[in-house]
Amino acid sequence: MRDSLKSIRGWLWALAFLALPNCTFQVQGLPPYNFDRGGAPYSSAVFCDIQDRTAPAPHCATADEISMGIPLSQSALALTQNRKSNIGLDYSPMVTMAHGCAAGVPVAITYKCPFPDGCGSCFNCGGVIPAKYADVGAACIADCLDKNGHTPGENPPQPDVTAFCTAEHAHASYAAGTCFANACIPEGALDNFADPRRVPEPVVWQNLVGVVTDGPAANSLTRTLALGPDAGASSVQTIDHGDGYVEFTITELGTIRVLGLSTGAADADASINDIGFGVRLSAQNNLGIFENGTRVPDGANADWGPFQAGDRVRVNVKDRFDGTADITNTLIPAACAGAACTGTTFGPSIPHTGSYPFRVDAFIRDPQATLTDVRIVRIK
Amino acid sequence: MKTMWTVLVVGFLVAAASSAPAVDLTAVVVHPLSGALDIFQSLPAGCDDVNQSTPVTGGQIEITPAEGAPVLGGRRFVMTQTTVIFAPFNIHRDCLTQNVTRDYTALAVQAGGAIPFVATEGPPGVFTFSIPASEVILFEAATLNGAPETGYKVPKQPVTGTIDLNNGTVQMTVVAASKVHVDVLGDYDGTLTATISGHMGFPDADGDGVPDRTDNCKFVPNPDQAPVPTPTIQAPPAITLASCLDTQIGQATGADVCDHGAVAITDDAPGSFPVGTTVVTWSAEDGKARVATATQNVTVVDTTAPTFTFVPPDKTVADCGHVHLGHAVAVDDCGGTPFVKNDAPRYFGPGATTVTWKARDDAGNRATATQIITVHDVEPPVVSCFRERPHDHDHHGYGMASGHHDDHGDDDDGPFFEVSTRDNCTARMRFGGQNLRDGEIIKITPTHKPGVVFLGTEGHDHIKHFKAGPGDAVITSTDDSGNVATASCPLPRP
Repeated sequence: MRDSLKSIRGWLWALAFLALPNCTFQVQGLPPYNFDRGGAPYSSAVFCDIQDRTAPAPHCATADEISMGIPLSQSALALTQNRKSNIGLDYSPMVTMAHGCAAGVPVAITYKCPFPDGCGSCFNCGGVIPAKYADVGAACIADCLDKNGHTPGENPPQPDVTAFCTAEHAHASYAAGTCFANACIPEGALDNFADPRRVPEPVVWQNLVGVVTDGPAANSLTRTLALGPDAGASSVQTIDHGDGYVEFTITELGTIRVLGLSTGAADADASINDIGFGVRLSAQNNLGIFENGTRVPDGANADWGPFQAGDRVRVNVKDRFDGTADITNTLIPAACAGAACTGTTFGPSIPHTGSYPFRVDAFIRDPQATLTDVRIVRIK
Repeated sequence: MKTMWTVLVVGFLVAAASSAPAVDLTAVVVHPLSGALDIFQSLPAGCDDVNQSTPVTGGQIEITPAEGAPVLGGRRFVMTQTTVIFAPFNIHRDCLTQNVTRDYTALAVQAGGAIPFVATEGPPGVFTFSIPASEVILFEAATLNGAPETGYKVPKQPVTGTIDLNNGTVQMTVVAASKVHVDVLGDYDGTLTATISGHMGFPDADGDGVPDRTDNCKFVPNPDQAPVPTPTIQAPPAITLASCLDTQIGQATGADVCDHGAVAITDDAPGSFPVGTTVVTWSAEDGKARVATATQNVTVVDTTAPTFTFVPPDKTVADCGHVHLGHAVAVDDCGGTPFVKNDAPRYFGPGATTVTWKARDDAGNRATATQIITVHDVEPPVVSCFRERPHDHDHHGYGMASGHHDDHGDDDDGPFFEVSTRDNCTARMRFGGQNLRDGEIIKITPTHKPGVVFLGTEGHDHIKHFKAGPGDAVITSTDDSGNVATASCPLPRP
């Protein structure tokens, strides 16, 4: 009698609650799909970049794909701006050359879920990692099997699906090993998930000289040293490739401080002299650009315009795919909030170029002067 | 089967123009959601069919791009993140000897992947879509009778709906199949129909309730859409300059307060300002060719000295006297020709002499420059000693009473001589240990004894009288640079 009950997985299929008279009613368990989500609650999530097996294989992008796609190098930026697309664009020379693409034409990759967000799948992270899956990447492969099956969740997967998913077509979309706790309702669906990846990462400071960290995220700096000696700090994080930026908020007026990016793995000193690409706030509340201690003037003028308290300043990094990046600067008015705020670019008309990696570097001249809420966006 | 996604993409790519403008790929979230899940399940005779509903209570649908990407026949959208949460519900049947309860204390459905589709425009701004069922993967997450229930399913029929960009709403219908199999009696079909609608949360940067897409000023709250002046421009404060050539008049600041786009700031300041007040007009132009202007008074009070553009080089000459200096040239920041002069002496003596050039502009501002003239005298003086004729000194009353003059200017003791020297620099003559003046008359008595002896002066004119041996009547002239010249006085035999 039990076998006579046909139960099909999913979607309220447990409505098959009727049985023949005189037979014991029995609900058939749902056949397992490939991604073992562990036991309830399924409140954590993993986000996986999973390529679409049924879409055209990676190829030289058409003009329309370029307009609709998001460069892989912009994944961090796109996350903060809530931009996404099923098409990822790989501009790295090795890949484009391997596909024989014309100069400047990227390779288009079609994903099962929007890039760079990835496929969000809810599961019990602690229940299966590492017991079942060594890491998030392995869980993503299992998720790939379900999403790329000939029928969704087909188990066991067909060999071509297994081969596809294990061939570097599925991996964690963010820092490897990240499970996002409480991203899902306990039953296992995303619901109004405040994706922390959209929030620029607070800078973690090191090499503090004459300054202290403060603020809720300990990512602000205040000079405690008396006027005179150099004071500053540098970040633990580095931008190693791809597009990104460092940003801070201008709190007070009338003090001199510099924040920007230094090249190289280590911070040489607390002075302005080793800040390769720095934005300087003057005592007259004008923006200046200093490169390794040398002012980059605006033609006949020394400065690049005024700022106000509450404005935000960004130093942007744009990958040139040759180990270097263009550096530009942006002023975002205080009144503008959210991803829609692109701000106003200032600086040389032809961006100056630096080499990866970049480290956030700060210099504060005046006692009690601050660099507030310093955040970095980078590809991890 | 090739997915519809592929078909859509290919169709889109073929149809679209070769040049594709960049698309704003920012997503919009449809939230909150409303609607219901209609559950219909046919059952064998003797059991009431299931026909009930449960409302949508949560979830969201994320659509990218917010307004779609134009393609032939409509716009392309992607449902990038879809979760729908339904209210708990309970199904209970007590029939055919069975008493069964299905208690869904939680039910959520999430799209298993992105769902791309092309929506066709009907009335302007209203797009309808029909997504093939094969393109949609649904993942159910539920708690049934206290136990988890999860699984995948593909809808029974295309997912249909409408996107109304005018009103910012989305409506969608998803139909899934259910089936109950009863031995002997066979299969009984059912449907699960989710009708979902929601408001598109278009970005509203200024939070004035008017979405950016229709807001006439995205970044300034104006719920009544009253025009907002943009761009804005703030000219630098009035300034007083000390030079007509000073262009440091400050920088205007401009802002596209509505779109936060780039603003080009220009001014009509001349290359140089005239004395007095000039009104400079600053302009700010945004990306939509909107222009704002502001003015600034620039006043020049000329306190800047003229500038020498040429000063003759320092010069070294070989002799004293007049030196040709050359001509210094000066210009003034406010135009006109400055008056130029120098303090050079008519005569340059030995050594270095500093010549000061002075320039004065129309406003009385003065500038100076210097030129050094050095006389390095290498020219010896010229010296002569001429024998005086008697009458030459007679009328001077030289000692006529003490001697007799013959035709050669001699008297009893010796002849008279006029000694003279010339040098562009100063030269001094000496003879017999005595300084001699230029043109001085002296008397030299020849003697057999070598050497020169000063015998004293004679007469009321104090004519110096010497006695000189043969060949010793030599007058020496030395200038200030040490150049020496001599002249022999023609003495008669003693």
